[in-house]
Amino acid sequence: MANYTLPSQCQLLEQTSQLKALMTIIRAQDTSRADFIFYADRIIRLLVEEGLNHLPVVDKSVKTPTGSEYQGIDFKGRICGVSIMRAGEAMEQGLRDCCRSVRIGKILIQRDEETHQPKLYYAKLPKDIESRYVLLLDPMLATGGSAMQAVQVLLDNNVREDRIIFLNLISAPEGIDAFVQRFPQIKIITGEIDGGLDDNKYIVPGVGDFGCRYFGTD
Amino acid sequence: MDSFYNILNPEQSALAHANNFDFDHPSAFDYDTLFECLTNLKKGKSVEIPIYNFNTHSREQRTKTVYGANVIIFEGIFALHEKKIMDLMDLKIFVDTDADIRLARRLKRDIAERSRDLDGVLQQYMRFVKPSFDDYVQPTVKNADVIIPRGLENAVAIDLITKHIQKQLQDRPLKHRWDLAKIDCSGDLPPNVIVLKETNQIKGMHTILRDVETSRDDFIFYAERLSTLIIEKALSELPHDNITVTTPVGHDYQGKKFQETICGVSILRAGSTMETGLMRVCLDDATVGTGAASLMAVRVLRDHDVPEENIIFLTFLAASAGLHVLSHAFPKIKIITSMVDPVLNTETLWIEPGIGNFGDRYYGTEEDE
Repeated sequence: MANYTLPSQCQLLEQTSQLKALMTIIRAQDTSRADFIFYADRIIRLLVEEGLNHLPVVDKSVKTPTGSEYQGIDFKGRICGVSIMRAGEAMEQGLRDCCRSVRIGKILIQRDEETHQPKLYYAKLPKDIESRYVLLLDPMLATGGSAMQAVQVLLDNNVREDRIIFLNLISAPEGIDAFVQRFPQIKIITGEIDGGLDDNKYIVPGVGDFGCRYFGTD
Repeated sequence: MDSFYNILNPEQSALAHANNFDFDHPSAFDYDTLFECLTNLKKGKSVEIPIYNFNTHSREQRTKTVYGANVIIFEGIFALHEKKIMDLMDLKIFVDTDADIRLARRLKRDIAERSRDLDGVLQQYMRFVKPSFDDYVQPTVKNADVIIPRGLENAVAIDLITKHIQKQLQDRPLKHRWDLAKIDCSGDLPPNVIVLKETNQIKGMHTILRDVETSRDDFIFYAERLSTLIIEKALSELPHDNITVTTPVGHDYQGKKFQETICGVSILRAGSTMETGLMRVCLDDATVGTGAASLMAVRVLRDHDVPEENIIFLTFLAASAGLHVLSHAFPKIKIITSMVDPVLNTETLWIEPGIGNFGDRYYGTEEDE
């Protein structure tokens, strides 16, 4: 989207040719499932690493094996992950690869076939979630409907809005705008911004159904 | 030194083919090229050594690539003849061998390896070689620091010299490591060095990795996380082609695709810690201190005909000095590091503040204290 101005709450991963190559593989319709998983996981890892950069830090000086002082930093505040089922679960391993034994909550939201509105079916969150920073995981930000519903669940559980970081691989401008307007304090980290939505509210060019391709149910 | 015979003009060439050219005169050598080669080798640069063909008495088109090293051995009958050449040397040795043995070796070599006949070799010996030895070679013995009688048989002398060189290497490590002191390490990093953006995560991981108190379990975990980021950065430096693919929703996506295949090479041992995070890359070593190991590794790749510009060097932590050394010797390679430390201790050659011995900490082979 050449003309789209990204809101300040949304951060795009550095658009390297390597990231573009990874995106090309997961977007191609004839990519095998094994390749889809492998390359999607690589993008997810980059998203998680970038998301973690938005956590607060404090200065910390350590002694190195050579006896010198290194002026480093330490992470402040505890985190947890919350995946929006089912596709968001594909991003859990990437989070675990960076944060061992991280707590991960799950939220199941599906579109009600009659009202076309997202509907909450299930939520299981860490008990102390109100004291944590939350990395919200969902690979695709299309209309933003289910993501906003998920955020509402988090807020209802006393998570602070400014402590939510939303990670996704591909976003549509419509989804970003709607999301930012409703939750202006949430940081969105995304891998790429696509052209928009088609009549079926699919992101185009998109990747198709991320969950089905990742979990092999298409 | 035999590589540095002068290029002969047609007249001299005809004399040479008739065994009538004096190759045993000091003027037969190209001291300027020799000086240039030795000087560059001492600076740690690679040089092209001429190849002299003793059958055709001419210099060949092709050359041999030789790289700078901690110890450079230069040998030849007039090695101790020219002052400017001798000024480059730290230790001058004269190997004295019995005249009969010298002649016997010469006969064997020139007939077997250089296509000469017995008469020709003897004629050359009487006419040029022996007078030249008496007039020019024997006198250079006074320029030597050490004279070794009986050549190779003299195990005691060889042992003494080996020990002396080892001691010199220990006493003056920095000077001997590529004459590091002469390379300008101040100011900006060389243009072929890419340092990862210093994000909170990178800094946080470095804090854990550098901390002497960090457990091995944590060390391995964070080393692998950091290596993934370094490798992703390296991969994005590779050349890509544009490609269009169709997505499952039937739309075109203007993407990119790798141009070439890649492979990974690690410098044992600490280098292989990065391979867990590595899919297919080039050359990796955990740390670059003086740059010595990295140089040697790049050389091995070059010796296997890998073009310099195809080499990407990955490392967790580099000393500024080592980066300058490496890119000074190989300006076309790309170097990716997650962080650069300012100090290389001239006594211990440790990077400071540094990370300690990366391989030991990763593989758990530290010595007990």
